[in-house]
Formats: sequence, structure tokens, C-alpha cells
Amino acid sequence: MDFKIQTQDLNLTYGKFHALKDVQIQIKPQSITAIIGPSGCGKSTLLRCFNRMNELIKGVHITGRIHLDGKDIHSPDVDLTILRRRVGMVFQKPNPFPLSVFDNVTYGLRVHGVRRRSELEEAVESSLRATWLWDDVKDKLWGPALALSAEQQQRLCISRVVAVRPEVLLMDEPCSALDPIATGHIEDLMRSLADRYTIVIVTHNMQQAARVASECAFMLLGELVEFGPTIRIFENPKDKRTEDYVSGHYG
Amino acid sequence: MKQDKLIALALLMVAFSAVSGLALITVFIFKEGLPIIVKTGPGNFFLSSDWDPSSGNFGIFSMIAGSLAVTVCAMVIGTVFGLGLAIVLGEFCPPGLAAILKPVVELLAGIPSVVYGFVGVVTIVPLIRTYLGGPGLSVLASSIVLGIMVLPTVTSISMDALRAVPRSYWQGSIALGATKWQTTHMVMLKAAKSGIAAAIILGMGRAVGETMAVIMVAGNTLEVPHGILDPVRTLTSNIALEMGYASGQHREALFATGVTLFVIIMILNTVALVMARRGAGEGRTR
Repeated sequence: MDFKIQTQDLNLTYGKFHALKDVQIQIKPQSITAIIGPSGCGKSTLLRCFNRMNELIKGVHITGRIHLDGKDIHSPDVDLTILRRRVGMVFQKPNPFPLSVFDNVTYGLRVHGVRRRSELEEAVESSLRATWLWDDVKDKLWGPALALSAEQQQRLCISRVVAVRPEVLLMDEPCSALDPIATGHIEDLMRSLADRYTIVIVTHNMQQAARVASECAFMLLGELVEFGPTIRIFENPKDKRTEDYVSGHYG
Repeated sequence: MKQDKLIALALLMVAFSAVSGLALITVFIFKEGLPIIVKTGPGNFFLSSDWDPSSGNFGIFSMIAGSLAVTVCAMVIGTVFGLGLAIVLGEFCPPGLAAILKPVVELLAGIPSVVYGFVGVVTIVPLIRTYLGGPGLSVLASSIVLGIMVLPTVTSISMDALRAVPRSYWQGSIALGATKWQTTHMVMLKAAKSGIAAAIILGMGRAVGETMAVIMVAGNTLEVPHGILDPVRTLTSNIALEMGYASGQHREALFATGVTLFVIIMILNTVALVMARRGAGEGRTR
């Protein structure tokens, strides 16, 4: 089968710190893949490789290959703005811009040169509907995004990414700033989005990984220890370290 | 314990005398200046351009216009360069270079204004006279000198405002495929707008109040300027130029000029303060 994202011998160093060691991962299209592991294991760093956000940090050096639809994302003819449009990202802390709801959702489109009013309005409605936010905010489209609740803000951030019609959604601990009920809503939303998007989620919450992900990767100290179907990782881990982690011995 | 109380008392007295000193100056200026405004009639005082102290005519309109023209042009120059510099230093140049350049820009604030005026007279004025015409001593010359003088204020406060914008906005925008420049003008500048407005208004306060450098390059004629190459006299210049020999009503009229200036600067500072406060409340997630 064709994988959406595939890495080969991926190594990342940050100054002298070896943050990713020979990572090989294959991410299936239209599914949710979770990356779990204790803090500092490199899971967010791996996620940020997929849209080349690590390059904004000074002193980062990457070797190895990352393929998106079989094409190397580090090849010189890759346009970074297009790559980041195809591979969207949702952050740990909801970070809507201090603009109106409308301007937040249309931001990505405007950045990519869409100016037609009707097109922007359509995108706002369809993106907000896709994230089940439309009914909550349809009367407040011109109000400040920062006035929304934390959960609504995070859903707005997801709408903002969905609006540019990405292929991959990277989610870096998207629920860690939310309460359990809001977390449940976002998880439902992720499952509903998975039939259109390839979702990769980083989480320190193993139950969350078990609830949403079909595939699961366990990382430790920069190494991808084990990768496979979520059920197998949790119920029948092959590696002792994975077993210790999923059974709660550390982390 | 007793020592603490004594020190607290001493500090309180120091603080009180500083504040009361300011209050006394304010009362003094108003007491000296207000009667002549009332006597001349505010309409005449503020709206007439006839300033002839020896025949008892005190109209400061040409100077209000002069101050206004010089300040507005200076702020155009100061904002374009000051904000531009803040954006480059804050967003585009390597942090190491910014760490060197920012103190250098702030050092500009330490140069005495007479030096700015002198440099203006020697370099800018002849250039304007030669290439653009007119006497050289002009609105334009004063605006350029003042524009440079307000750079440190505008740059350093707008840079702080840009820095105070949460980095997560920047990341969110870049992750959506925006370029650094798109991110700067579509998100960062909008998020920092009240701080930047405060920077511009504080710079404006400095430009309105500046005296020495302006006297040296403005020409100081008593006419409402019709173009940027005309010479002007500002409110501050008027006080400094005539205070030495003024007496009686003339002296009072100069104090009244001071009152006008005082009110203008108070308004600008209040606006800046309100904007800065409002800015501090924005940009936070609940």
C-alpha cells in the first residue's frame, strides 16, 4: 500500500543533542496515527519534521529522508508554503490570532492569495461546519476569536487549518489545555475528520491514543521503539520498554 | 522596626516633594499664563497670527500651525523609519545583530539635541537649499532632524510591543504556509497595534516638546507655513527665543504659550497611556 508519510533513517540533532535517532515510520492515509512516549522523547520534534517547522529553530540539523506521497519534502524544488498548506498543524495551546473569527478562518486562504469574498465566505461556513463550530459562532463571525472558550478556540484553530484543504493534519497534544469534556469533543471531531485527512497526533495521554488512533508509535529517548496497530501496541507489545511504558511503569 | 518606619517616612517625603514640585510648576505656569489668554480672548490668542509683543498683539496661531506641521512631518519620517527598524530588528535580522543594534539606536537618545541641530544646520539645511530651493531652514529640515531624534523612542517601544506578542501566533501563521513578511504584517503588527500607537504618540510628545534642535534649523519666522520648504516658528522656539528679554504682558504671553504646549503634551501622553493599557489587556487567551 502507498503510505502518506514515510521516513528513512531520519536523524535530527539540535546542537550536540541527538533528538531523533534513525526513525523509520510509515503513516497510512486517511487514518489516525498516534505518537506516544514520555516528555522529551522527541515525539513533538518528529511531528514538526513533517511540515519542516524544526528548521525555524537555530542549530537544527536533519539527515535522512521524509517522503510525502513518495516525494522527498527536503528536495530543493519543494515550495515550503505549499508544503505547509498540504501539511497543516494544530498546536498544544489554542493559538487563534487576535483577529475576528472570520479573519482567523480565512487567514490561510488569504495568505495563499484567495481574495474573492464569496469563496472566503464559503470556506468559513464549510470549515466551521466541519469542526462543529458553525452553530456556536455563526452570529459572532466578526467578534474577536479570543473571546471564545478554550475548546472553541482549539476548534477554531482546527477550522483554520481545514480551511486551506490540507491532506495531513498534525496535532501536537491538541487537548492538553482542555478539560475532559472538551477533550472528548475534540477526539470525536478527530475521528470524524479521519475519513478525509491523514491525522498524526502527539499525545502524552495513552488512553487518548488508545481511544482515537488506529496506529500507534512509541518513542523513547529519540528512538522509535515500536510501531504498529494500536491494539497490538497496548495489548501485546513486543519490546520490553513499550510494555513497561503502556503498563504504567514509568513516564 | 523603628528603622524601617524612619526610612519609609523619609522615602515618602522624597516622593511627596518630587510630586509637589511638579504640581507647583503646573500651578505656576497656569497662574502666569492664563490671565493673558483671558484678557486677549481665547479666540484672538489661539486663532490670530499677529504676534507683535511691542504693540500688545499676542496671536500664536502661526506657531501652533508651525508646531503642528513640524510634528506631523517628523512623525511621518520617524514612524516609517522607526517602525521599519523595529520590524527588521525584531523579526528579520539575526538575534545577535539585533542585540547590538538595539542599544545603538537607544544611544541616539543620549545625544544632546543641540548636536542634532548643529548637524542639521551644517548638512541638511544646505542640501535642501541647494537641491529643493527655499531658504533651507524649513519645516522639512526640522522634520528630518526631529524624525531622527524620535527614532529611539519609536523603535524601542514598538520593538517591545512586537516582542510582547505571543510567539504562538507567529508559529501558527508560519505553519499555515505564510511567509515571514505576511506573518509580520497580517498578524504581528495587528497584535501589537496598540503598543505601536503608544510608541508613535510618545515620539510625537517628544517632537512637539523639542526646542533647541528646532530653533537651529526651522528659520523661526512668524508665518503660517504654506509648504514644507517654508521656514516656521514652533511654540517651544517662541518661548526659548523671547524669554530672555520679555517682561510684563509679553512674558505672560510666553507663559500662555507654555500652557498651550503643556495641554497638548498632556493630551498626547494620556492617549498613549490609555492605548498602552488597552494593549496590555489584549492578546491573552482566557
